[in-house]
Amino acid sequence: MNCPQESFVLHAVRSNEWTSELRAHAESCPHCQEIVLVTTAMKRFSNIDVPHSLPSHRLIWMKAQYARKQERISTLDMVTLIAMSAAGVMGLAGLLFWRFPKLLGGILGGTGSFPWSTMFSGGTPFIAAVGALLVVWFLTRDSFFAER
Amino acid sequence: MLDESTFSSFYDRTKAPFWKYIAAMVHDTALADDIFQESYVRFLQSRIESRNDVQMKSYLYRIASNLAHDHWRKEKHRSSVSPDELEDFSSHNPAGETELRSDIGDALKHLAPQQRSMVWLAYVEEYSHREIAGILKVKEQSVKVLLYRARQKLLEVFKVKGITQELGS
Repeated sequence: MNCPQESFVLHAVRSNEWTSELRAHAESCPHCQEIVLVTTAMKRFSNIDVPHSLPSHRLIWMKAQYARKQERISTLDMVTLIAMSAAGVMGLAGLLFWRFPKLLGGILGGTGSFPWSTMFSGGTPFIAAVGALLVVWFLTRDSFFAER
Repeated sequence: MLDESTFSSFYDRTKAPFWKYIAAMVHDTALADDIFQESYVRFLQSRIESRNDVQMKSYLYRIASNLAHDHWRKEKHRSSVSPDELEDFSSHNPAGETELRSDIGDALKHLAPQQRSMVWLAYVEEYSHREIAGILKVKEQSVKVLLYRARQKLLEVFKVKGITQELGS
C-alpha cells in the first residue's frame, strides 16, 4: 500500500523537479503512478484564483482585539457579580446579627440547637431580608447561567 | 503572543492557500469566507506563543478543520446536501482549465469531508501523515488508510469522467 519513494515523488510532482531515476521509478511503481495522478490533479485544481479579494490583516486583527476585549469584559462581569452577591449576603447577615444579637448569641453560644424561636420572634425583618435575597437572585439568575 | 507586524506577514503568506483549502472542504464561498475569518480570529485569541511558521500554520488549519466539522455536524442534523447541490467554487475562474478543474472539483465532492481535507493537506500542502493526524485529530495509521481509500475513490471518478487521460496529456 505504501512506497518509500512516495514523499520524493510527491515533492517532484509539486516542484516539477525530477531526477531520471525517480521518473523511472514513478513510471514502474503502481503506487507512485497513483500518487502522480492525484497530486497532478490536485495541483491543477489548487491553481485557481481566489474569486474575490480577501480582507486585510488589519480587519482580522481588529476583530480579534474586539473579541478579546469582549472575553475580558465577560470574565470581569462574572467576578463583579460574584463579589457583589457575596457582599450582599454578608451585609444582610451582618444586619441580621446586629438587629438580633440574641440570635448571634444563640448560634455562637453553642447551646446545641439552632435558636429558631428567637429568629422568628420578631420575624418580619428576617423574612424581608430573605425575600430581598431571593428577589436579587431571581433578577440576576440569567447572569449566573448565561453561556460564556 | 503575536504582534501585529508578525501576524501581518504570516497572514499575507497564508491567506490565499488557506482560503482555497477551506473552499475545497466546504464548497461554498460564503461559508468559506466565514470560516476563514473566524479561524484567524480564534488563532489570534489563542495567544499562541510559537513563532514557528509550520506550527502556526498547522494550528490555523486545525482551527478551520474543527469549524468545518462543527458546521457539517449541524448540517447533518438539519438536512443532507447531495454533492450536486454543493457550489462549485472552481467555476469562478476564467475559461481554459475551468472545465478540468470543475471535473476535479466534482470528483472531490464524492469524498467524505474528512477525506477531502486529507487529500488537500497531503497532496497540495504536502503535510506528512503525522502532521495531518495532528491537524484532523485522527490516528496516524488512520490517515494512511483513509488517504488510500480517498485516492482509490478519486481515481475511480477520474476514470469515469475521463480526467485521467486529460491529466496525462
